[in-house]
Amino acid sequence: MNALLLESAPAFLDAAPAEDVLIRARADVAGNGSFGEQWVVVDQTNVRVFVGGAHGTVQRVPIAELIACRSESSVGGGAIVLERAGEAPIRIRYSQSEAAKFSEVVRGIEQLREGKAFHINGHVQRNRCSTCRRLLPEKDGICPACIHKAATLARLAVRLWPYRLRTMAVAVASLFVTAAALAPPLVTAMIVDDVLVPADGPPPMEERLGLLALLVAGLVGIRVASWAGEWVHGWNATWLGARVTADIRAELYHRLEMLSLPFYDKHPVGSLIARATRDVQMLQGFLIDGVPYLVTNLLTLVGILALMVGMSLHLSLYVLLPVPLILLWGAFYWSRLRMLFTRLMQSWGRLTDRTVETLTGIRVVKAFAQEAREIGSFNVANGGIRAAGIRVKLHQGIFFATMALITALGMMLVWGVGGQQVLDGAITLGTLVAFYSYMWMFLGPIQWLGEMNDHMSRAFASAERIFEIIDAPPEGAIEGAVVKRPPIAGHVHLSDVTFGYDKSKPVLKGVDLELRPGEMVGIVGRSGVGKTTIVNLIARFYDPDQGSVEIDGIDAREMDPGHLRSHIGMVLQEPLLFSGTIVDNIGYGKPGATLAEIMDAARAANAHNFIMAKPDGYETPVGEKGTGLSGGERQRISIARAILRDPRILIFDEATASVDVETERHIQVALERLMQGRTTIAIAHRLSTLRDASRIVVIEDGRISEQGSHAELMEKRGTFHELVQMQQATSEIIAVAD
Amino acid sequence: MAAFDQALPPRVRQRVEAQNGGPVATVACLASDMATAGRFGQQWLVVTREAVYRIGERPEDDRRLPVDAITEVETVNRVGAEVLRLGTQDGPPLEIVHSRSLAFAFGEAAEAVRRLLGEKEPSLPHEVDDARCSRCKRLLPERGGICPACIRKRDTLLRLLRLVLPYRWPALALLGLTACGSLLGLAPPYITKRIVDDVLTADGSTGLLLAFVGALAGIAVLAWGIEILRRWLNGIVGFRVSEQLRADLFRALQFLPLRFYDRRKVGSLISRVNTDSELVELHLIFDAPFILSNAVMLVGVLTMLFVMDWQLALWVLVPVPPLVVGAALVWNRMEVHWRRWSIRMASLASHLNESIGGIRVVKAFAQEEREGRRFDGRNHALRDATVTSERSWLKFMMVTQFVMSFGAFFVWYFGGASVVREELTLGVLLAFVAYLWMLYQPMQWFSDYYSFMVRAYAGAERIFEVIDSRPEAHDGPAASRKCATGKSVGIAGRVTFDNVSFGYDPGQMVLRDIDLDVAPGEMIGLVGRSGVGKSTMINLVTRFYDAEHGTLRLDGRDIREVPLDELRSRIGLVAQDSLLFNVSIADNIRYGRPDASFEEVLRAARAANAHEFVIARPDGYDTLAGEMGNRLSGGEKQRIAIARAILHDPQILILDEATSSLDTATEKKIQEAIARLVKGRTTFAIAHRLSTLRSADRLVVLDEGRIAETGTHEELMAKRGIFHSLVEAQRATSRVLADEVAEREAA
Repeated sequence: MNALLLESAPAFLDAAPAEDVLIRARADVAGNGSFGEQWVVVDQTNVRVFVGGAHGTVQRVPIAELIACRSESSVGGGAIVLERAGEAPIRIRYSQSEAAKFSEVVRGIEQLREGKAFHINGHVQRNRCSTCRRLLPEKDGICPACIHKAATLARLAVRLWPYRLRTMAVAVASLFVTAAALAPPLVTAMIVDDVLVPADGPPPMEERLGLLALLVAGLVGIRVASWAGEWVHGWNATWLGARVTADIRAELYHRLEMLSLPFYDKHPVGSLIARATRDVQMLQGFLIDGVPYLVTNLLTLVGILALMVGMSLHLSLYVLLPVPLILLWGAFYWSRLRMLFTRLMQSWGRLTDRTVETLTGIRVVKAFAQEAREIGSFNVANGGIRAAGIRVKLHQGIFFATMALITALGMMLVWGVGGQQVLDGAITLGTLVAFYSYMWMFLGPIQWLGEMNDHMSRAFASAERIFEIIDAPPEGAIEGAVVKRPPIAGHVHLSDVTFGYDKSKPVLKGVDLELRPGEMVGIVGRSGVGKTTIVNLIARFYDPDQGSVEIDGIDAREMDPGHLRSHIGMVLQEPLLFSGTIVDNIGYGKPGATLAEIMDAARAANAHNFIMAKPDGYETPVGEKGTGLSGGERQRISIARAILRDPRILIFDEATASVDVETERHIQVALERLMQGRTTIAIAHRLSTLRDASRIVVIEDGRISEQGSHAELMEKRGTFHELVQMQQATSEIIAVAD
Repeated sequence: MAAFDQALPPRVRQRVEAQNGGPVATVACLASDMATAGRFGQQWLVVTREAVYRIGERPEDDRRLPVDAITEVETVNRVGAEVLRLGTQDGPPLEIVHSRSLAFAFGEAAEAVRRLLGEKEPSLPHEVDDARCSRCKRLLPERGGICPACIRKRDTLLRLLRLVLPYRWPALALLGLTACGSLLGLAPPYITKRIVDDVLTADGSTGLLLAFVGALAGIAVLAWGIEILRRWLNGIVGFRVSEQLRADLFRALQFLPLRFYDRRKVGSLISRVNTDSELVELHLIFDAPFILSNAVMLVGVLTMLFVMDWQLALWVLVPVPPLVVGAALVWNRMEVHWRRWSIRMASLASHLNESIGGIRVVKAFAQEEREGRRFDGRNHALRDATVTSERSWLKFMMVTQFVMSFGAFFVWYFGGASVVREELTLGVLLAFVAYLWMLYQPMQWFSDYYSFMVRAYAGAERIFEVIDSRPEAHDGPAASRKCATGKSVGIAGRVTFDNVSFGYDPGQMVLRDIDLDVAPGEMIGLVGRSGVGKSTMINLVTRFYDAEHGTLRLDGRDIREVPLDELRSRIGLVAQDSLLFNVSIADNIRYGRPDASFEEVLRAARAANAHEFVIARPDGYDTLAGEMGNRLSGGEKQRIAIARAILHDPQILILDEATSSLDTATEKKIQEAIARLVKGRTTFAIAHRLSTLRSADRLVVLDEGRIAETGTHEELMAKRGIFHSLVEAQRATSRVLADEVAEREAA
């Protein structure tokens, strides 16, 4: 019983008895087709459907009474149909975004109905946050609204600890700058009151001019001091920001390199790269600009409030009047704007998907002359951006203009009420002018609080995405086990191994296989039967779900994967070369190899001659995915790469499938040299490739169905015999015609 | 362009005739751009039917080589140059050095000489696309392409404006509103001046105060309305224009020839659609109106200042000249820093791409630590570049702001003194201070926006570069118009290669003198080693590329005269790695004929042996194929691709390694499907496994770009030529098994 599909339930579901719940899934369309929700809850014996929220109805269908459960697709969505004997079927409708989830729900109900083992894929991609139900910025992404901000902030702060002196300098400097910014209005108030419109009759002009010069000099002095503070702050903040960003990026990358392949299977490469570039950049912006901005603004607000109350409590109260309005308006409108933004981003995502697919498949598009159609569907996505974009702009307009209007009304209060007070002699003109300046400094940051909050949420979401990777367990870590790095002779033993990439769909079911050092074993079977999976387990790209893989009698899980792999040489069907020269690529597994060693390896791989025929020889650059070399040439370079490492265990996964006969012969000769004295596992469709194997293992339906020498298997007249016959039938036609 | 009918300068012609001892009829004349390797200069290559001439810089270098005496024609690569070498038995070879940019033209000339040696008609292409920009002489990304350096000189701004033209009314309204909004912003400081002067320092009445405050309120409400309207219009214009730009770009991308895609990474093209167009969009939406409104504001504020007190206004302007000069001085250095930063960022990103994308290989070779060290190096370089560029920006901003703040000090001091001397009212002074902020604030941001603008224009240029590239000749000048009659011309499927030669790269012919006539309904198997030109022949039939010499005919018509969409709708392609799209299986099968009914889809799937595995899936024909079809196995994808081709119902079918990399059982199913598919269609099939070609009517064996053998399977085997040896080689490997079986059974 594994892989349950449970979505976090609302309170009213908890009230319903729910022992041994297997599936709890939310459908986002109400029974009548309008926007709403229904819940489907499945346990061992019953399917329950909750309609209409807390005060709605519950329908209980015993699984025993079901005739069938299937899914129906319709425009923009689909429905689960529960068919019962003698009664009308029940339909639970859902929108397209939930189709993948309900496909699993149907599978689960069918398994229960037929009395089979319950195995479904509990991990379905989420489009909405499971707690707050908001649309997520990316599938399975992190909801910016539901992050533990304090915890994340604390983790970020820890990264500042190594640079605490600089951090202190930045903090002190920004405090100083904030304080310095509060002073000038006070000085200008003095200029107005004591120099320009002296309250107690005009003193001599020279005295007034002298005082003016003094006060302006004071302004200059404050400016110089705050300028110095800004220098200290900026100089250190840039250093600190770049440093912390680089640290986080490095930590992220090093962890990425250490993660196991199952992790990579779940996350598209593009999204991982985006975390190391876009998310880190976002975080840098937040750390360098956002945090200081936030802190100084909060300090400014407090400082100004104190000064204003000190000057005139009465007028201060009026100044504060628009503040609740601004805050309310921000709270009211920001979430709406954010939703519109998310929509815009999603439109962009759709456009990107279309572009990537069409341009990558441009050959197919052209071959089928479908350019016009692709343009049509691009234009639909493109129009989506335009529509969403214009809405965003309109609502932004309403939002910001209204914010500005409220602020302007606050200003008018200062002029109206304050002006009256000046007329009444309650305050001086200088105080009014100072108030006016402070009002600007006060209401500005308040207007931006909403945006600041949003900006922070996004930065935290970035941080969370980064921490998600940093926190993922690296491969090879088993709690309590000591990581071993024994010398490796090449004895491989798979005992009772069960494994599936998706645990609910096992690919290998109880495989027992032993390879003695120096033995060559061929693995044979249909496509998708699990041949490559065996290899993946031996190289510890994945760990078995049940059973164990032992190398020289030690459980592979206890071994350092890097150490293990340094004794394994792999040649894959699609040889992936890195950009660099041929020397770099052959020397990839053994940094520091001499050119003589590299040339020996190339000779052994039958690659030396074609390399020397290139104008640049071993220095020939190999571009992205090795363009400029033919498939056979790339394969031979990848064999040379494996040879140079002198591994104990050699793995060939369809190494010669896509090259022509003559090239294959060259490669075969190279391989024979390479295999001597090493444990070799070879997978091949062309059974002829396996003629030298000391043993052939036939995999069928996730199990070993036959094994033995070539001759034994042929005699047995089982699956292998059949495969050979079939292959011969196709190649013999030419031979017979001879 | 046309490089071969270059007019011979009289000086050169004279010397050629002196060598020949009489007038000559030239076949080709070509000027080289180098005298000797490594030294620029000019030499001429003149080819006539009888001889080849080299005319050097000095008459002593001139040489004539009779065609009969030439034993060898080859092109030699040297560092930074290539040499055309004509070998002869007596004396040293005749060599002409030229730079890589002329490689294509000289390759063609070499080809012409080779043909003369073989006593064939020397055919030269009429035009050679330039490898270099005709203006700036930089290497072009592809022959005949757009020079990325020169396009910048075109007026990008003007082209963007032309895109705005269809929305001129909202755009004009936007302009008007922006100007109104800016001018309205000038009013509040003036009103506060009146409050100070007429009410507060003049002991005015409460009524007057309320009137002024009321005016302020009116302005605020008006500004509110204008702002909303302005942003809305801005959204309409900005998003519509960028929508149009993206649509143009995508359309251009769809119709560009594959040659364009060969030289570029798909990623960089995708980023033009996404990143670059977004840059332009943001520019249109944020910067352009911002710059506009601030420019209006700037003029307005300056006018107000000079009207109120021109002497004080001059003091305000004192910090401006040093600022402008300083900015101009610092700017270039800053750009260097930014460029370095973006280069390092790109280098980090490409490392990420490679090491994360190739994680399987990294792990297989246990090279995580080395990749980590390489990453650290780039990461540190980026970090240092960040600090340098941000600090230089900081220095610039700090100095700028400091200098600007002196404007305020001047106003307070000199303005204050004037107030004391009662030459100026307090209200004017306060208004000055308020206007000062409105003046300096935008100036501070201008530099920021400038850098953003530069990037946006660079993005627009990259977009225009694609839009301006030459599209595939969908309807060549001579293309028959199917639209004119509204009826498409039927295609019977006869394909004729008439003396066709072709190469992807300058001077490197992949196919030479191919003559082949394929009857409608005939199945041709193309056989030969890797890289011998089999796929190239197919690329010519589908017109992914056009032949450079000779003609390819379809039903007797030059293939270039057949409208491209007409041609391709008659061709079905099943390739080795069949690419599917992330839509349902049914839609993938329907790809070539979107209007096909579900019944037809089912029939095609059955014929392709795909029906069983499709309905075995829970979602049946609605199953999503996944990105690039990755939710299906290789054999399943292949069968869907075959169903797609079957439904397409083409007259000409192309099978490019359709069954390699599949296991035998799956291959058998696919073979059955293909056998059904090829009936009655002209078929070209390529396969490494020669067994796959057993049903071909005729096999064509290619060797070194030429047709070496043709004939039925039996004929070729009897001939004991190349095909025979290929079959032998293949059998040698598969026979081992058969022999062992035989031995076993005998024993």
